[in-house]
Amino acid sequence: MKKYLLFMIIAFLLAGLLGFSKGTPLSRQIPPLNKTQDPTEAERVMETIKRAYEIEAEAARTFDLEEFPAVFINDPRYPVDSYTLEFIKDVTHNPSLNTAGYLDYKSAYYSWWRDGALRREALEERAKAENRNLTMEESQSLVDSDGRVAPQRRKDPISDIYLEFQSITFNEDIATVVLNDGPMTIEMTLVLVDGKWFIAGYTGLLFHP
Amino acid sequence: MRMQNLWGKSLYLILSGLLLITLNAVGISSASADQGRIMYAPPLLVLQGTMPAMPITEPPILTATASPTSTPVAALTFTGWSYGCTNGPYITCSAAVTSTQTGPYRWDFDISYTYGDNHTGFESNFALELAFDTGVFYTEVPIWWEMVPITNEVMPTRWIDVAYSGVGDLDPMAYPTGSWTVPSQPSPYDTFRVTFSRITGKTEILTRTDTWHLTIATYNFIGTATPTPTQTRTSTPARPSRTPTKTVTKLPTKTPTRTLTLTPSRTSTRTATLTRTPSKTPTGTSTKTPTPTPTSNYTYNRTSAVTYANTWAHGRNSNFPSYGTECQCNDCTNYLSQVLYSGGYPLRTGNWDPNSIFEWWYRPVLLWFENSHTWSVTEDFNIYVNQYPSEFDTGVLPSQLERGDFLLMDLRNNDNPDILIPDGRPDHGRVVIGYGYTSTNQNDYTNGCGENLTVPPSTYTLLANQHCTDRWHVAWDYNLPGNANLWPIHVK
Repeated sequence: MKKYLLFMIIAFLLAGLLGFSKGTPLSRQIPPLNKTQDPTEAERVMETIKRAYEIEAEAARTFDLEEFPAVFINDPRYPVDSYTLEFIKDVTHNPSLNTAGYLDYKSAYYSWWRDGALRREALEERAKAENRNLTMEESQSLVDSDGRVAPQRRKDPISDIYLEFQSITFNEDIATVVLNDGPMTIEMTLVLVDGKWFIAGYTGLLFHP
Repeated sequence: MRMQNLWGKSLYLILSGLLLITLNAVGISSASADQGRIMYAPPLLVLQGTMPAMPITEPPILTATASPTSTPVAALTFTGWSYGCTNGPYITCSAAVTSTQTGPYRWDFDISYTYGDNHTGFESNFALELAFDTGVFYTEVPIWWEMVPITNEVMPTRWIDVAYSGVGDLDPMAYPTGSWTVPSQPSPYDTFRVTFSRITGKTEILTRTDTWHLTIATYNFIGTATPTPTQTRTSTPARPSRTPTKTVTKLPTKTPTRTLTLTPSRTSTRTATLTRTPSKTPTGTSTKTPTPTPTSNYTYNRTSAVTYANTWAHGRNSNFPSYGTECQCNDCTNYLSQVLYSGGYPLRTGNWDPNSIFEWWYRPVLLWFENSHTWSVTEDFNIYVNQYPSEFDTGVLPSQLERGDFLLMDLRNNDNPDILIPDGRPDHGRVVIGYGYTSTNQNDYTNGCGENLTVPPSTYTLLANQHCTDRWHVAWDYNLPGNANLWPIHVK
């Protein structure tokens, strides 16, 4: 009996440790702060990033995506990860898509958001005209086949954009930037094209909403 | 947010295993032979023992007197149910319970159980247990019950016991109606359990299904009309006459009001770092039938909700599931659900299907808790609230949110939370507290992993609390980028 008990205890301990040990790391090693060698170039990089946040904040309210190519770019050296690619395939209804860049992702995200928000607004307008709330069917229709719920557009005023730059590293025409934008610390990759910096890649380092 | 609670689940598994091993090895059963009385039976443990079938007895005539407000109970909470069969060879053993909170002090249940054995030399014992929390301590709490047969009329033996004493406190109840008093218990014990059991005799070869309507309340409701819910209940049968009858009353079939078909185009699973199955099936077509159980009379008490949110902004209530703290933390939606529940929004248990997007519940199981994904997974919570537009308004602006409302946001990829790139599905949530001055306490401005963040100047604005990272009375848009996708949720 004792052997049986001991065996079972060990088995449960192993099962507990092995079966539930896939923790989700919320943090990765952040590169040390580097001194940039070109303050002017660093300012241009930071300006591009700030501008990108401004354009996105505006797009979240107007769904005007025309300015996206001014700050985002598709660079084949920095394709989006497989999960983000799946998202793009989902919302663009393009299952044969093999690769995509950061501009593709931003365009897809905001296009999906725009379509959902406009659909929601149309339903709410109709309900308002009929002096009623959304019906259960209407509300459920906002949940798409992938379980995404169409949100509304941002209508609150754009507040000051908080960006805390922690490091900028240059490697010829590539700049790697670590910054804290509020809910997370991220690493952005920018590429220099025709004398102008564009955001081509993005990796999250720390999540602290 | 979704993430596994590594240590919690490991500890749960280990302790559960050890408990079961110990019980099996040393022969301790959850029941004793104490006059055939079922002793304290932890949920899902197999119950054993012999109990005589009780004769049918006409209920006494009782008069409704007490008012709900006369009880010391803040709100009667139904925390879960379990069932089991012992002394095989039983051939069937299953149960279903639909619960409806009919006001803060009363629960109505539709109970169905099927059991039987196929051997004349053995007995088979079926038992079903319902667990409740009174929410008060050091105080006796009166309990009234009424049990009405719907199909079949053999009165099961019933027992009531309390968690603290662990002793069956009543003789078998012979009447389908009656009252009892939960004895005074020290904190944190406020649980009592109602157990029903039926046994097949040695000469019986029986497979039967019994259905009952049961009411449990902390006031004397007996003889009063069943309150009419504000919305039509289609999942539960109309309450029949209290007088037992041999006429079999057919249970109304559940009529789905709508069938939602989710046809994901993706084939990848969403379980990379998750312990919970997502609410939608990644492959094939999942036809989900809504559980048409609109909530009964309830008033969302925003003061209670916010009080709870403030009390537990930096803590974890052991009466609920927990999804971690500090760096290993995904407790935000679990926290939201607790706040919603504390405000009086009732559990929607339906079929206790954790994957159902139409249910919202938690319940204790052994040494841990089980909950629906809608309770703890942000995007599933969001899908849930969209199923019930009569209860939630998702079309409001953040500035229109009231205290006790919620704000969900999309900050990262839900299929792989390591990827901090939004994917159109909310993964974080905050509780709106109301307008006030923002906190200046450093504890409310950390990254959750031991590092302090800058404390912003105190401003008068709409405040919010959240778990993971735990924050109390921060600005509703604190740390939110201006492009974040938001889902404001107003509780009606």
